[in-house]
Amino acid sequence: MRALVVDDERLARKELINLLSNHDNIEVVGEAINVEDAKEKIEQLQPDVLFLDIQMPEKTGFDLLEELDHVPLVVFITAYDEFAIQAFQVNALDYLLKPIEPARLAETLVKLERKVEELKKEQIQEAGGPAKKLTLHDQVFVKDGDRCWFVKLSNVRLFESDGNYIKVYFDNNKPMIHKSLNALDERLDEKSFFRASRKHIINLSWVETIEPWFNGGLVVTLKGGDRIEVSRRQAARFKDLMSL
Amino acid sequence: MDKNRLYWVLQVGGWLGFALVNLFFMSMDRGITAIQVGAYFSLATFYFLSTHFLRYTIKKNSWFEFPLEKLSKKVLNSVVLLSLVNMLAQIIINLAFDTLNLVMDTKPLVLLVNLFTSFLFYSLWVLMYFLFYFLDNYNSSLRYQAKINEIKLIHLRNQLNPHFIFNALNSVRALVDEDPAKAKSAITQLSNILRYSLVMDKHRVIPFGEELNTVRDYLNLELIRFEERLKVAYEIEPAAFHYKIPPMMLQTIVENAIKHGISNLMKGGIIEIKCNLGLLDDLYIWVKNSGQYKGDRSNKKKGEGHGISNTIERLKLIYGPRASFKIYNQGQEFVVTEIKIPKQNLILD
Repeated sequence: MRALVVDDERLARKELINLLSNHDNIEVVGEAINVEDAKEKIEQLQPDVLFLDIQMPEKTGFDLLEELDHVPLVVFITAYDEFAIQAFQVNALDYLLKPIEPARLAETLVKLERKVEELKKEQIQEAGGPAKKLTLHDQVFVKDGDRCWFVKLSNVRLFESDGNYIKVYFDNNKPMIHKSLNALDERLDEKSFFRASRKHIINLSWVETIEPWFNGGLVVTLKGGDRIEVSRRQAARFKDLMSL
Repeated sequence: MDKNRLYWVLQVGGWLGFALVNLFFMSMDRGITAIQVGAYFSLATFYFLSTHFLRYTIKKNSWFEFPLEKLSKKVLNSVVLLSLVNMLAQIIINLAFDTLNLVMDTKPLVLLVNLFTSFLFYSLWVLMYFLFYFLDNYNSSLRYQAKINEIKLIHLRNQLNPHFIFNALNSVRALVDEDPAKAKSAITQLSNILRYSLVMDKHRVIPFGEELNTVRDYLNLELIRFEERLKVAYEIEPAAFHYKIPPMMLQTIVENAIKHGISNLMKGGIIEIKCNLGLLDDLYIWVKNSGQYKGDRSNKKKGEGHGISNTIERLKLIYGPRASFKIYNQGQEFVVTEIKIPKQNLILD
């Protein structure tokens, strides 16, 4: 596993790298000292996992995740922050508290390895897909106020643009992310996601029924009951896509 | 027991007892008649009503808020007045039951004895009434003090910033390999701070030098953590060491300077601590740090920012209006926090 360590303190990075060096299954491919630095290095090094400090100057670890299109596996690190721990406990792969306990780190690495294996299998299954596009198996990080989620794109049924934001519909939540729908559309795999109209992108695997609508448009009902109109211009493309 | 119920039990029971005891002794002496029973119960009823009226007056005009001197005067006056009225009432009661002996009962000596007896009873009543009030009040003020102490304790616990402690320990862990000597001194500094924060709440004020040492230890630890991102400078006038200041006050300000200033800046910044005496021999403590003060608004969400209000409150409690606290931005890059500690007076410890 290839890891990137993100922390603004040199000694903290050194301590973690030192602890990780006792494990053969993980290789630290780089260090980043702030969010901008981390973004560059993630792009450049494509790590499997981030060891991410939450409190950093100017932008936090959460800010970094929100700015990433494709979020690698993340292990959060914090000295003390009850609220943050509450927020990511359910969602994150794992979190570590400073000073890091070696035994606890070993447990984290076991979890990590299992997760990486899983992801590899999934990726082999859908081999041939265009690289760099976000597929159903990729996860995104969404933060809304005090809550945050890692969401697998296969669980997202709908993206809806709302001003400068996009509402992400999954389970019973629809938190907002600060992005434009056009930019997102370009990043998403067109086999799995379809731009239904100016306002909506739908997840094709969530489509339940399709009905004709005025002016040659269509209305799609998603599992769960959301009804989305497909504009006339897109309807033809949609029919092509859905027919064998 | 409910205070109001207690009053009624004592009030009814007390005056009923008064009538019965009197009748008992009367019966021992010369036997008992229906007229005597009626007269004594009438008298007891009068006592009952008049003292209840006194209680009503006390409560309505909130006498308990008066200073002691005024309260004593009021109470004395009313007791004398009630005794006079009571003396007249006794004559009227005798008249009503047709037991008035015009010659005997209007002798000045008899009147005086009657006056004095009722004065004694009223005084006894007032004494008990106020005793109960003050005992009860004392209890609740103890409870209030306990509450205040509890609040203080919570404040103090919050001041010992766990984020700082765990980060410091983390840095020390890394230092153990890199620079063992430095790691050792860091452990000493950390234990100094912990010890200081545990014992300091016993004092309202402590010598300036003690607080400054803690601040130095604290900043040395933060220097290990932030390395080249933190620069620290001190400019302390020797006279400052003759002053006493509230414990953890300078420490809290410096901690905030790190937390809201330096740790939010990618390139880091400076912290300058300057102490000198003003024209009137007041001690001025300045802490200047990189960053910008954005007021309480931005902090409220996380429940922070009560560091400042806590500091202002403490200064007010200890020094009254003679101390002051200011925080302001100096240009676009620095925040200055200024505390004025008045020249010491002797009653502070």
